[in-house]
Amino acid sequence: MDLEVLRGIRGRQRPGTAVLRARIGEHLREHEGYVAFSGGKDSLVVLDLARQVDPGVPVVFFDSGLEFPETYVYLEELARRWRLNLDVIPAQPGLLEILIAGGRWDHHAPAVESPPVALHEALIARPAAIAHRRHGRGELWGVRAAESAGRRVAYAKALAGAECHCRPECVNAAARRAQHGGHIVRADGTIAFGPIWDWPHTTVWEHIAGCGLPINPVYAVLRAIGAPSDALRVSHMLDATRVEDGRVVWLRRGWPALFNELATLLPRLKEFV
Amino acid sequence: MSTFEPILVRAKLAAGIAQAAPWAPALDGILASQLWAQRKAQEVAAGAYRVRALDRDNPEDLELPLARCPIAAPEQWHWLATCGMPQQVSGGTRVHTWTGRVDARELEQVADRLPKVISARQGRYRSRRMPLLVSPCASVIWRAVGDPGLVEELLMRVSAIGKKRSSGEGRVLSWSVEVDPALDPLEAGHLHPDGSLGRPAPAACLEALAAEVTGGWGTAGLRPPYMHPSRQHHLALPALLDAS
Repeated sequence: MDLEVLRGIRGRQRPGTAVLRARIGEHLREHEGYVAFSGGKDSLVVLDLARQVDPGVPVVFFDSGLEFPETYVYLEELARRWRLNLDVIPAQPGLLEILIAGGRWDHHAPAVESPPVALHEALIARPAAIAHRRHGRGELWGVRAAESAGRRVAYAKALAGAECHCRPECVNAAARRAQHGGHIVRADGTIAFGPIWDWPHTTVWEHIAGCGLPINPVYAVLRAIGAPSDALRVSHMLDATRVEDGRVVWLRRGWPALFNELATLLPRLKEFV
Repeated sequence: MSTFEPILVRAKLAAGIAQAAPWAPALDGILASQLWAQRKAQEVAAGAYRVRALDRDNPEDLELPLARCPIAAPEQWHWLATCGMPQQVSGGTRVHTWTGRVDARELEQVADRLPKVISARQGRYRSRRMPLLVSPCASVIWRAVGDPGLVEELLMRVSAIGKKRSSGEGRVLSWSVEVDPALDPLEAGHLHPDGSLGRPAPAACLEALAAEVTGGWGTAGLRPPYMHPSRQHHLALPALLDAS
């Protein structure tokens, strides 16, 4: 049996996404902003939903400088095929430069008290600030609560603090989740909305199969080398997160030449295979 | 040189082999590790062992019972021996799991003072739950040009190959070394039986061989110790296991 066919059938049988699209439209009208697209499956679904609402919605790709080669090609092809209003914002400095300068990936590197730029600052805070200046304070993203405890807590707190001005008022938890879930208001005044915040990963794959969305070829490589579903994640190739869960193992197996190149600059990578 | 002949080496395995790279261990690597273990034991016994091979600036090339490739440039010389090729593979790659956590009691023994907390969730001593990629197969074969008697003598002491040997992976049931005089020496030292590239190879070797399938180009070790920086070159990579 072809699992993709099964997912496609299930995806087409799922209830429609009209409510989500209405909320996306409302978010864009109120806050403007952009779709944050990483090249992964979750942001692909959000991009698909957002394009149905506004085909010209700005799409921002935060380029860490250390993305999989397939991701760059995929992004270019998708932008052409879907005529995306694409805005690529590179990290300055790039992720690889930060990792090398930090010295933590090389036992023989000189000790560095603190890296010149924090990863979060270079990869997220600065590029996001640029994107918000260009496109408005709103952001549509593919972040899901099921991805980590931190994200689950963030969404739960945001939902608990959400004010309901609905008429009639949301009377139960399910209605409240559907109408107000997924919004996160940040201290700097920007507002992120994750339309698929409460979707499990199975629903994401069903939507992709049901709508026939083109996915990043990195997933095919990961599947070919035997990666289980929880390892099917597309992000930049490397940072300090999830190395204890085998992230580098999949890099080594699927992209051996790239791994060797990176290991010459970051020798401690070999400790994580 | 006269005793060197094209050979086919086979390791019958109990259940398969675990490996991180998309190709099985190289025969010259296994032989060198055996010789290095002997050398290390001698150095330790003489009180002369100071620095492990990977930490030496330019580790010595141990003389293996293998022929050297006649094509490669002097700075890219290598042994005529391939990486392993799993045989009678049962299904695709299986993902086993290994876990690791720091032993606080042991740290107390080896450190004169410890911080209040050694986090198992972040930093160098964080706990690991790692995938171990296993190719379930009945045997692994290598091709090479070498002295069959000496090669067999070294291999007989090897009881397991690949990663996580102490956990039961890669258990070898038996070794066999067969001479195949009909085999072209250059092919025996570079290609798998199916014609795909069987070892990391410089451009000159690839031009002479016309391998049908390779793993592309990239940086890789050329001879043991394969992971040492001085052994890294830009090479054609062996055909990938997962691509077959």
